[in-house]
Amino acid sequence: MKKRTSLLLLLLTLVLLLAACVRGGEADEENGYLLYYPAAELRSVSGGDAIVTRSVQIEDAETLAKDELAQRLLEQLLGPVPDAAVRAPLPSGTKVQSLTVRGNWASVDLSRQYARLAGIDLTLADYCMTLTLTQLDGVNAVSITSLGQEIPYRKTQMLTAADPLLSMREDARRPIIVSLYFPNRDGVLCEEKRTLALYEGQSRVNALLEALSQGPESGELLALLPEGFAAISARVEEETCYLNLPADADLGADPQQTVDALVRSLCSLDGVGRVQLAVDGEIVPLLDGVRVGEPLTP
Amino acid sequence: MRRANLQVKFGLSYILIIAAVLVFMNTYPLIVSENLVVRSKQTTLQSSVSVMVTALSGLEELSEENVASAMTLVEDTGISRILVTDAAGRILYDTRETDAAVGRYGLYTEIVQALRGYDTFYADFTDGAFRSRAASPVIYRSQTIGAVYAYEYDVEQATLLLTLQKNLLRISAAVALVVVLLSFLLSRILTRRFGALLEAIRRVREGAYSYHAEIGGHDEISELADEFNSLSDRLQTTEEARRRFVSDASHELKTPLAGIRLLSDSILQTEDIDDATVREFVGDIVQETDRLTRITENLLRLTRLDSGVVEPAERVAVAPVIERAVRMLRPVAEMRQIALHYEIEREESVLASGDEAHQIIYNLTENAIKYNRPGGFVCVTLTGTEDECVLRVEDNGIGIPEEDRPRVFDRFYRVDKMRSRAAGGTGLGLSIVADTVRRRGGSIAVSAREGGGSCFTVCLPSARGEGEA
Repeated sequence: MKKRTSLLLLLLTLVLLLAACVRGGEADEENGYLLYYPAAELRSVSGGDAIVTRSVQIEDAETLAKDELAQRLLEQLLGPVPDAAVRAPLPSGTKVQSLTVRGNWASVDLSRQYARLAGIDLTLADYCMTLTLTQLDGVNAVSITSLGQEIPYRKTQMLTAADPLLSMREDARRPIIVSLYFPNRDGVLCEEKRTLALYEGQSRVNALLEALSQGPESGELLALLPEGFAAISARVEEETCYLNLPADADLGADPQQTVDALVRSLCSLDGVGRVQLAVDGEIVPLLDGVRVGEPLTP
Repeated sequence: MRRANLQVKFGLSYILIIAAVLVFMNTYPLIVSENLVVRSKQTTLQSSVSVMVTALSGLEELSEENVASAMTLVEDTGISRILVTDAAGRILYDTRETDAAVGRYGLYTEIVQALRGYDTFYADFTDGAFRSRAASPVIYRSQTIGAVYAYEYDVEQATLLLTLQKNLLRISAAVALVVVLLSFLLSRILTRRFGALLEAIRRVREGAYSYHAEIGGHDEISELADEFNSLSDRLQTTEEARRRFVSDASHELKTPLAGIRLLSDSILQTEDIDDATVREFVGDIVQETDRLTRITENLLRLTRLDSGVVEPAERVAVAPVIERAVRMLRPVAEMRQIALHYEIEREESVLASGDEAHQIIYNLTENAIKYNRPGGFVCVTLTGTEDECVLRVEDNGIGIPEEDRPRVFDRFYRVDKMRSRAAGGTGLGLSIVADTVRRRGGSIAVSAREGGGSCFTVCLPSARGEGEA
């Protein structure tokens, strides 16, 4: 009986502690911010970014003015590093001379140590500070000077969060919205909007052709191109899509309709206004009885 | 439950071994293939990057224009994306069709490493694709003026690898299914045979000694079953002998007891019984009591023999034992008008206890006297060979019929019950002699004597030259 009671008490204590932790976490999230640091050992972040984040809690953040909050964040960033996996973005001894936030632009003036940075080290330092400060509501751009002087060899003086190229994984698959044309039961070409996941290096034209050959998703429409239909090559130049088809390309029972669907679908891509068909690299006047000697428009 | 456990253990053993092999089959080839692909990609991608670096290396400073111009001379490598940056990481060239990053800052790990002067490569195989990244610095007069970064996203090789993985998994699943079925069958066959053996053990334990385990095959289990069956046969034989012995012993004991009872009742119930009759009856009671005593003593002796308690062996000279036995039995022989003599052809010694030697010689000689006719003779001869001591007891008595000779050494066996009882026999004497002789590594045999009578021959290992008694 005693054992059971002790066990129950212990369980209750654990539950209460857990609840407290959860409550504390929720409260902390409100005052949580990210600090951006350069990775200390780049090999440990292979395949990723040279800038990594660490979370920090700013007490009473909601009571601070924007520039005070920005000052606090920057001081945290310039302070001791939180762990050995990151290093300080700025040379040791760098101090914040001043920090002002005017509208959506934060202006940071640092001591002379900052001016010693150059090349990729300067870029890393700039964007660690920029990404840290632009997470504040209303701060969209940052300018950084050293003792009031701009860094002359830096290409741009207004730094934004959109400048750095980060996180390759999101780039691997980008969605594009295309219009595909398939005939309905009455033989009329109808539009079907589709979102295609485009991975890095995959051309939009090839992705579109692949989607066309897979057929319509709607049950009302009919497939037009045979499965596996592919072009030898495709390129877009000056709003013209040059599509090189193999000599044995199968255009189906109605080649004219197939060519029309191809042209209208390809012209739904941004930057494509017309389509020039070729067969085995040569522009031919006719392809299965369809005139293709000139660029075609929808 | 025990059988199920054994079956489960057997089955699990097979399954675990095959599972280990299948796990290896599904991991090692894939790991090796993945590494090969990665190494191949490293070679290809880095060499492509080198070509591009070479194309840019003549430039003093990189700009969007001169980089674009230099890169047009580079063949289309089929790489998914190529970036060229300046020394600060600003992107000057991007092969991406749309959303090109020219003007932004490439802060990928590989770009930063290249800008610090290192050639880098990294590849991973996740989400159904190989993602490979290579970067190298562009150097002009020992200064890093920029970096070339190449990224390849390969689905084809990844698909090949995934297909290989899928095929291996399918094969493994089929093999696993076959193994599970086979292990179930094999373990069932194995444990069923153990089960049959267990059943046989239970039956025999409950007293069905004639029950045999029917287990086919030519392995250790069938050998175990055969051994068990012969063991149960022996048990059955022993049990039958025990029952027979108990039955015979109780019968033998009941007979003199019944006789004593009858005589006692006669004395008590006869009125005016005369002294002579009483004395006669009491004499008979004493005789029956003597017989009871002898039977009991012999039974005890046999029990001791059966229990396996063996007195320590000593070197016993046989001749003096014969002399003593003959001396003890001479009055009995004279009373029955039987000539008793002995011949020592060779001095012999045996390894036994003194009592055992005496028991053997005395019992055989006593029997020869008992089952003889007046005017007959009994001769005890001691001889031997190099390895054996041979004792012969011959008589020209009533003899033993041929059909009875194999059984004379059985307990309580009598050729002629009436004569044996009259002679004061218990039916145990020869059994005791035979058991004693066999226990000491010897043999005993009975044969008919030419001219009538019997000849008992005892052979015991000679102890000539062994330790002194």
